[in-house]
Amino acid sequence: MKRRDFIVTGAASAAGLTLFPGDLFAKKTKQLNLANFPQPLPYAMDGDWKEFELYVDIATHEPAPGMKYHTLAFNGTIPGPEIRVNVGDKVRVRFKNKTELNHTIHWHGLHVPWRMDGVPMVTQLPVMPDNEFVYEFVAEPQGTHFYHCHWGTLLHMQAGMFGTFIIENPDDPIKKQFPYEWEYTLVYSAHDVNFIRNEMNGMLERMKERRYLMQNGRFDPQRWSVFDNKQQLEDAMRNGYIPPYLTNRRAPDELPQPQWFTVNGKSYPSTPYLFIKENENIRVRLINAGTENHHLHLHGHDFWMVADDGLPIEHPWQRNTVPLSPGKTYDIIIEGKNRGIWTFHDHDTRRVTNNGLYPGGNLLALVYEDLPEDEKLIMKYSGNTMFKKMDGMEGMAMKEEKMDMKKMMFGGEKLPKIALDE
Amino acid sequence: MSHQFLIKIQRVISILLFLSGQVSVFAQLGEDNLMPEIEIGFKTIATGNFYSNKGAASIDLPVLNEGEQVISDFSDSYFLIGARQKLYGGWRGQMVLGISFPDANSGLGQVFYNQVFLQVENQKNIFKVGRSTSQTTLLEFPTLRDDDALQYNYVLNPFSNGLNTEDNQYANVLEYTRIFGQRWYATAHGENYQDFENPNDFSLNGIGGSLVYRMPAAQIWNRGFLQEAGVSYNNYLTDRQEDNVDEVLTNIIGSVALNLKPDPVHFIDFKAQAIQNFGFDDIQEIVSYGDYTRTKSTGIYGSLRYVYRKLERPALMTSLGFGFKDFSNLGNNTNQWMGIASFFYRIGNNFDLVAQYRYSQNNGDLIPLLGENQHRFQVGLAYIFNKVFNSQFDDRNSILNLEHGYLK
Repeated sequence: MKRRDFIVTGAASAAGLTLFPGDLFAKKTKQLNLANFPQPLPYAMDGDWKEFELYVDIATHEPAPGMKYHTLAFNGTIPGPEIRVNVGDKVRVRFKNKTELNHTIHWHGLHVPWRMDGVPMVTQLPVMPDNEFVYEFVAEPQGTHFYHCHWGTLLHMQAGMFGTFIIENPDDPIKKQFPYEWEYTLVYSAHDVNFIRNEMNGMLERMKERRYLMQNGRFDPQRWSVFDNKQQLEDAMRNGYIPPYLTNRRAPDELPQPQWFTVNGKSYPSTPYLFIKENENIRVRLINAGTENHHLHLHGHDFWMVADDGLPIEHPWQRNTVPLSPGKTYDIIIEGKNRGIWTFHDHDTRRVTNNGLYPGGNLLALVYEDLPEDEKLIMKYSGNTMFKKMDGMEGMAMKEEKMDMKKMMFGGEKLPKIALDE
Repeated sequence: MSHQFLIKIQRVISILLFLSGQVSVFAQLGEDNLMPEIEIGFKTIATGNFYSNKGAASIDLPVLNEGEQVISDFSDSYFLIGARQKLYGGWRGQMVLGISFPDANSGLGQVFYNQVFLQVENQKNIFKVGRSTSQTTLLEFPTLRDDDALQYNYVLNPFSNGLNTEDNQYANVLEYTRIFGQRWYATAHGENYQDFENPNDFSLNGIGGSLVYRMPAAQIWNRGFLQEAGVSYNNYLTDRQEDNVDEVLTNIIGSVALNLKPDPVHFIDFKAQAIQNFGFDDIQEIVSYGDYTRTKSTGIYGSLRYVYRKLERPALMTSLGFGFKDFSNLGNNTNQWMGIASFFYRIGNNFDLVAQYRYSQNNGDLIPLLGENQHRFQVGLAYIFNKVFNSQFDDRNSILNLEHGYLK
């Protein structure tokens, strides 16, 4: 995606946007599609520092039409806004916690000073409710990275606290090798919405109790389950303290089992489209901010692997399926050599589901925007025997009857369509 | 409220009950089974009870026999299973099937189906049909068993023979509740209470309404002084045959629960409930248990509770309760009172060591029916468990739904 497009679409909200294939090739559709990618976070200059403002609050998110759940969202969006800087830039991020929970921000893949790494109780204390923390570091190394909350990570990440962090290299070797005009960022995640709901409710209740005690100056390490060292923990246990993992003090029934799989916070049919033109290259930045492995397969193409965890690959190679494990980023280059509409999806098809139903999840499409109109007609290229029979039938009355039946079953005569129950 | 008006309402509700039974026919048309939320809950409370009774009671309850006795008691234990699912349009549907284990010699058998109901609800409305907890009390008090102070904190069922407490606690109900502003619950209800003289009569014999202010439990640590308050108006449609006598027994309930110290570690609250039973004026002496429930009375029950919570878990709870009931239409200074001290000590998640002492005193015309006084000491164990499996959606009163927008 070009930088000027970020600016144009920066104010657009990704919430509730659903694209329907009937409009797929409209100019407006392509423009609206930009809102389905991470939105740029504006910055202000303070000397030679780029200052960004991030906050987290509880929001209602709608990954697919009609499906809503409560989330933790950076600046009200999932994923959070994109921080995009040049390598070597001085970055300052003012992080405000507007929730009643604790949080931090970890800069995944960045070489920040250790006290800026965002690991609670290791590099900093958590950012408590209504508090602020200022992160300062120099942006390096180049490439595709992301940020996420590191407090209660299992819950907070799948509840939505992740965002993209792109460090551009003005002398980017990838762009030299594979010239491109458009680039897209796809952040994958997986969500057990029942776990999110139950844990958020439980945490919010506990934090209300803890804040009550804190305000009265009566909070202690045992209540928070935080100890200076192992000896202190063992002493506490001898005095009656029971670690939460030893009893079912507050343990959920089992580890989260995601039922919703998202790309940029959206599940099919709300997932973004990757638009491409014939004979052009696009760059796609792939980030896994979730807990599941995703084996991403592109139909009809072999793409170039050009960066691994943000680092350019000196000798790119081609493949059509890439395993994207949790915490991993890859950059790929897709060459527009085979026009059409091609699905790009997790080949572990358990992740191509919404609440257990196929299709859904992280299914999306690579769309040649200059696809000739007649290629979209079902009739023209159909290998469906029903269509062939109809073509060979004599008598217009019968033909029209068949046409009506197909229209009743499948709608209009063009592809693609949204299918929600296969 | 006129008797004719009540009869009309009774007919309307009877029609609705009939129609609700016909709806089940749709279930036979066949649809894919949707896996609902499954909720399982149980309480097993087993105590050793020591009784010391003074005065012979005419009511046939062995625990009121004069003298001393020791029994093993597992009454008030229950098992509940429920299923809940989303309906169309953002509504939820729920069924609950529950059994409880009544007192020995209660006439109810080994087990009693105390909950068999269906409920549909959305954010603002609740409809409930079936056997369930009746609207005869507005508060739950911290005693070992729900019926430990029943004569004071429940409106007593005027159709009961007094041999069991379930007659007062449960009924076949038809209820509608409208919720205003998350905390105000306005309920209209009709009931068929168990009638020991006509056990096969399932017609409506109770009707009433209530308005309750209730702070959601999820917001316990930011709530103020007032925890809960309510008023209730109830009518029992009796079948008295005599001419020129009132057939409708009316009572009102007022309740309040106050957070005296809403502290997460040392929590103290106070609950009180008053019941004014307007009674039948012509009942001026107690010959039977029916007279006891149908004569004019004023009852009040209050309870002071202390909860010690260690590391975000309840560790100890103790309470003191006191009840008094006066019968102004009876002579001989007839009244009764009760003092009760309860103790719960948590020895594991959901598992409590429990003990309770209760003294009850009956005066005047009550002595022949209920005996003069009783000391009761109980000690035992209680295991209470409640869990939702296959969780699918949130509760109305979760923090997320209350404070961050209700999701259908």
